[in-house]
Amino acid sequence: MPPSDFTDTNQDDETPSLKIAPNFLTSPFNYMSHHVQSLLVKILKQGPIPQHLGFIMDGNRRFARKMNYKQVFEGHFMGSDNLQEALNICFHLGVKVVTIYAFSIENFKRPKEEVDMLMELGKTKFIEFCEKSHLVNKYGFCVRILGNIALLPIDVQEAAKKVVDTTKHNTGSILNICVPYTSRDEITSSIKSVIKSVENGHMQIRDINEEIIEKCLYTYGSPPLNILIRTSGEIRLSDFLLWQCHKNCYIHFVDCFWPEFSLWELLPIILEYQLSYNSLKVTIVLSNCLFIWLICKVMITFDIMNRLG
Amino acid sequence: MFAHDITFQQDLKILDKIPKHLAVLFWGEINEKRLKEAAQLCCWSWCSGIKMLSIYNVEDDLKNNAQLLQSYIDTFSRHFFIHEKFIPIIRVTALCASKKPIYSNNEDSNLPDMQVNLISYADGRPWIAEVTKNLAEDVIQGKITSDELNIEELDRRISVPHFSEPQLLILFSPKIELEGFPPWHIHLTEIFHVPGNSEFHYSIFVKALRKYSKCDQRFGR
Repeated sequence: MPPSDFTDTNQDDETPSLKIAPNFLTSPFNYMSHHVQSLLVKILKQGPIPQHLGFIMDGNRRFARKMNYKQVFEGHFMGSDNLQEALNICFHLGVKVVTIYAFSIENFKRPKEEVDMLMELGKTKFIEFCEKSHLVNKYGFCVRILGNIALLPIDVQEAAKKVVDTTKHNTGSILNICVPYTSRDEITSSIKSVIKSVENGHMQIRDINEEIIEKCLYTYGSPPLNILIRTSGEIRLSDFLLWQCHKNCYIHFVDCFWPEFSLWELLPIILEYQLSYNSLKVTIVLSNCLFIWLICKVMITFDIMNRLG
Repeated sequence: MFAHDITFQQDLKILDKIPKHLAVLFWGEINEKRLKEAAQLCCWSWCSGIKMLSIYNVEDDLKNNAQLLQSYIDTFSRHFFIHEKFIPIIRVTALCASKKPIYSNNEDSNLPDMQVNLISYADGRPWIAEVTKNLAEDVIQGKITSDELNIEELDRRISVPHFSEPQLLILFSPKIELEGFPPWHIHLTEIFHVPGNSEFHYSIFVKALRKYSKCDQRFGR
């Protein structure tokens, strides 16, 4: 697991150890951002928190190109590291379910070399989760694999099955990994199983309705999707959770690449969600956040002045 | 009130591609103002080369006003296309996907120059449930086996000829919310959001088309 500022802060919320906390006098900005993040999460937690978040983690390759990495694939590594950060923030906030679009069935069209590397990366992650990674230990989440698993290479399939098996008794949160997935494929497989149960005499045709189809989707058992986030500025759903996001779900197209996505991008999204509740608690959360934001602005100005001076 | 022909030409020149099928989602109540905006939109769309226009409102208000909308379109197009050689036939249909699938008849000599679909919640999830029922009947009658069922077969049944997937959806709503828009039909649709519930100005229409023309779809690659 990559080192994470955020993780360190959370381990000791009240009295951060002096060893890891940057010095206020020498680097006020680092000092503040270190503490501000965990403070912000604490404040946000006072308001209503969405139960189910979906992520289309787009823009890894474009990020690598932007940063002039030698290998475009390095973008995927950065993206995978950032996923850990994002999960850390989400689960710390109290989000129950996070569903991520890890690999689309359409992605098999990419060059074989890239597909192989992505499969290897996925496998490594699965094994890591099995070996009780820090993140799994901390939040006790269970991993579910959503998608047409038969399309995966055998070794990845086995790793996927193992991670589902090892974490299935965890009662904390849920991490839905969509691999290899498309929503149309999911709806088709759901309709197929509905029709099979009619064929087998378990169900009457007149009983077929929206709810039955929904019950046969991969996401069954997860609370309704509240927020869907797509990074990289693209403005389409690319066949992800079409059925789930079609009602009572806020969609956000965020204008940054996935490896750049942080609490600062998530913050306004959560605040907007909380605002829709319009309660006193939310007003308090909002005024606190504004206060912190102001302090940050002052600190950034100070930091710039410090560097200049 | 209407954009001048010359402006139109200039606006379209810089666009690399135009959606064949444009969809618009109107949030909230449908009033006379919205209907007139929709009628204007039909004229702009035809001028831009859009072949099909679908207008969505979660309630059935739009569908119930299909005739009124048609009369607005007829009035507007007489003024709008005054310098054109002919006035295009723009036909409004209240889509009733979930009640009875209507398949277009190619022999129909009165094919419109542009088709306008009015759609509502019923054409989304409930229509998929309806298709599933029909499929189940076909399976029971042995017309198709459940193993033969795949995405293409479902797409053939869900995307009736009158209502295929739009390439661009213009969303008039406070937040980006789909309000029950048919889920199957937006798997690759570009979604252009107009915050608030503002008026549908010509500038918004051009902005949306520009954004669409810049979108680069990689289809998974």
